[in-house]
Amino acid sequence: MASYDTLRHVSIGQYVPTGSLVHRLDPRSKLLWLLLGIVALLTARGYWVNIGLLLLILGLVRLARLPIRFVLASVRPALPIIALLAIMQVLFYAGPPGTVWFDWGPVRISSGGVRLMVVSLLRFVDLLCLTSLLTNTTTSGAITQGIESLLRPLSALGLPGHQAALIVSIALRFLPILGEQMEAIVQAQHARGALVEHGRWAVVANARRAAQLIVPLLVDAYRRADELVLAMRARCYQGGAGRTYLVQLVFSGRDWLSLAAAAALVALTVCLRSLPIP
Amino acid sequence: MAPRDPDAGIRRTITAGLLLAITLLLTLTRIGMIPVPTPAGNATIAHIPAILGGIMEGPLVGLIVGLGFGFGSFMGATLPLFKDPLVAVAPRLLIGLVSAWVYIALRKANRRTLTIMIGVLLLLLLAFSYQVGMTTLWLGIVAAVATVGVCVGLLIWLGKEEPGIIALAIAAAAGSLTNTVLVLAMATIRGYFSAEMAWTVGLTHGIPEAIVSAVVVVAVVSAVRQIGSRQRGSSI
Amino acid sequence: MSMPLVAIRALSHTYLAGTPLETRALTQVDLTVRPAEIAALVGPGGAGKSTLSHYVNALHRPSRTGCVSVLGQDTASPRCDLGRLRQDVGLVLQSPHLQLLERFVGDDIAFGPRRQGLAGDTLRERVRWAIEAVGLDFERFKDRRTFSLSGGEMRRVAIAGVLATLPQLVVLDEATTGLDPRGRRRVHAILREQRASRGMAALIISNSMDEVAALADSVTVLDQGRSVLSGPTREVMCRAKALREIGLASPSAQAICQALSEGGLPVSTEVLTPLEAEEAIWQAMTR
Repeated sequence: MASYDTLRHVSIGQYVPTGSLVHRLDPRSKLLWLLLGIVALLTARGYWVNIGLLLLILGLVRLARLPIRFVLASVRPALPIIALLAIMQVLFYAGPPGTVWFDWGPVRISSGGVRLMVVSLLRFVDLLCLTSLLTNTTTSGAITQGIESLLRPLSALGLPGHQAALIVSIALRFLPILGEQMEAIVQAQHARGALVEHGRWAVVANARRAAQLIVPLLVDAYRRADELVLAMRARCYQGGAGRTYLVQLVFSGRDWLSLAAAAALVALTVCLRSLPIP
Repeated sequence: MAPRDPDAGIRRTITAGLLLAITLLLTLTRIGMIPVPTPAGNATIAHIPAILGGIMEGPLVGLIVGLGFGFGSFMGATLPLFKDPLVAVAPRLLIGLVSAWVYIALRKANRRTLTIMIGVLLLLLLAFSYQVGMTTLWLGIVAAVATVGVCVGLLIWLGKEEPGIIALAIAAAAGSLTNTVLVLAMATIRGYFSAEMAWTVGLTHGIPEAIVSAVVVVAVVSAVRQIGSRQRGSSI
Repeated sequence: MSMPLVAIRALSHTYLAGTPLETRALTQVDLTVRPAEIAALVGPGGAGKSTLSHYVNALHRPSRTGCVSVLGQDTASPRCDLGRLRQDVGLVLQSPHLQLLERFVGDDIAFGPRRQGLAGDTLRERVRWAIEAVGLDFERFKDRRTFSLSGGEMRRVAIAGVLATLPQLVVLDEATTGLDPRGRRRVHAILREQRASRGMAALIISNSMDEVAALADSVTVLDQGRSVLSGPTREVMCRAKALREIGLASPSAQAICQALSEGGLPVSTEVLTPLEAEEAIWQAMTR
């Protein structure tokens, strides 16, 4: 079992205060950047466009003054698997092949396969950086508020926006507590010798161990839920609409600019899609 | 019958929030992994809160927690495969929904109905394995063996246990299989996997994961609702 | 002097080393626990007490600096038998319900001994012994569901589960915080009884100086990851000024005697428990 450091301090979610421009943006614009960035990445087609996107995003990471090694650190343990999967992707690619270089039995190495693999890897790095741009530059409280504030207008469309916003805020608020509890459970189980990896064949035994991990956590969570209901009733909570917040998020000129940039990026990738760039 | 709970709405919201929190914890740390004898090495338990949400609180909560699972899986992913939102997020929306619907359909069923349904399932899956076996023989054999094993096991279990529990297990397995099947399908469509690879991973991974899900969900629900199990005391 | 059960030397621990978030949790810390000794770890919040205690049952293992020897085994060595170690070193946490693994009390307590290979009647007798050691009735409790117990009962079952493997050393990480006085006394009685009958040692982490003064033989004081005071309880507790500087209070019995002494009554301030304080005050007043 890995060390316990990783439980409470997941490097993905950690706020690293470097005081850059990106840190000062409204969390909503960063969330929207992530969304639009994903759209742009999904519509980008071909080598050059993806390389361009990569350079752009790396530049943004630099702008946020985040060390690139830190951003990519979480990937390190998975590198062998990534390499293996990439190789298999090239060997067994089954889509439109372009030029075929090697064909024998189930193995077919083609330019189409290579392109898919390279683009996937580029996209992967981009997505790592994009998520890092959000989570490492924004405190979890700010992210929560941002998500809530973006979800609420959905109520106007008939979706349960308020409820969703509340669910998200409850989740993020309880995350640290539940994290500590989970850590305590894992410690206690380890100390009693319950999580020792007996080997991969003890599936049912390990499943029961997993149950023993989740059961106390969930029973506790349900108990907390009862307490929370009481607390909310005591404060005359009646549903999500009409809630006001202590700290209002304010969109500044910077935010509009960044949003415009993101939108422009998406528009660009969509346009470039139809051009015959490799 | 107990009087309608006026706090049901709030309780549902809060439970959804807590399940979402647990999902995020499980996806973003290594706790959500159990070693299994398959190529991928680890089965996930992070989809289980979504299944629980669907079963215990209804389809909407299942949907939201499933979305959370997809989101957490995407954010925490270190493989290019799972960093693709179409593979990580979109299929996961259905986990909670499928579990919820299957449970709603099955929970009132009595023993006889369930036996018949398992029998029908057995036949369908055998026919399916036959089809698969036509193209890839070994896969068909594996599928057939797995089918027979699972269905027979279910029937034996049905003899010893309350039907409500069996319904839980089936709903949980259904949710887990939804996860496996849809994610692998998207992965194949997006070109990360070839069809063969997808099948292999699907069978070797999906079945243990479904079993694990069933075991865990039954354990959790019976602990929380203090139901089920003929067991009256410890074995000491 | 017999060999210590726990010997930690010059241990340092850094969380998330190499990242922008790295924090030093422990710096060059020493800790010793002797057989049949009740040792205590105190310190302000965040001082590193829990981190240090995790080295005792090998939840953490030293990577580069420091040497940790528990029950004669070097925990840094890959040949260290972790399974065995965890049977011989028990851990009791603050929240009892997070430590209970099985649905029924009897099964939960039997978990440890089962892993040691006990079965049948021997197993039953061991579980019975453990349940009774914490003051619960065997027949009445063995078939109860763990989640239906009250908080105090859960805590006792958790302790029973740990005792059931007959550990040589038990670590209690704030296990009495939040207990009412009667519950706390019960836990102390269990520890003392186990020490007297089996020579079991204990390492308690506590925020209550009164508890430490009453129970512990030796104390180690941590502050910001460093060990600042260490030694027999009486010695450490008498360093009132040093403790105050770190932000720790003295045991209340001692504080009272201190106040009386400053007010003019010639009373000894080297007291730990209310009983000793009573003695000292009586002596001072009848002189």
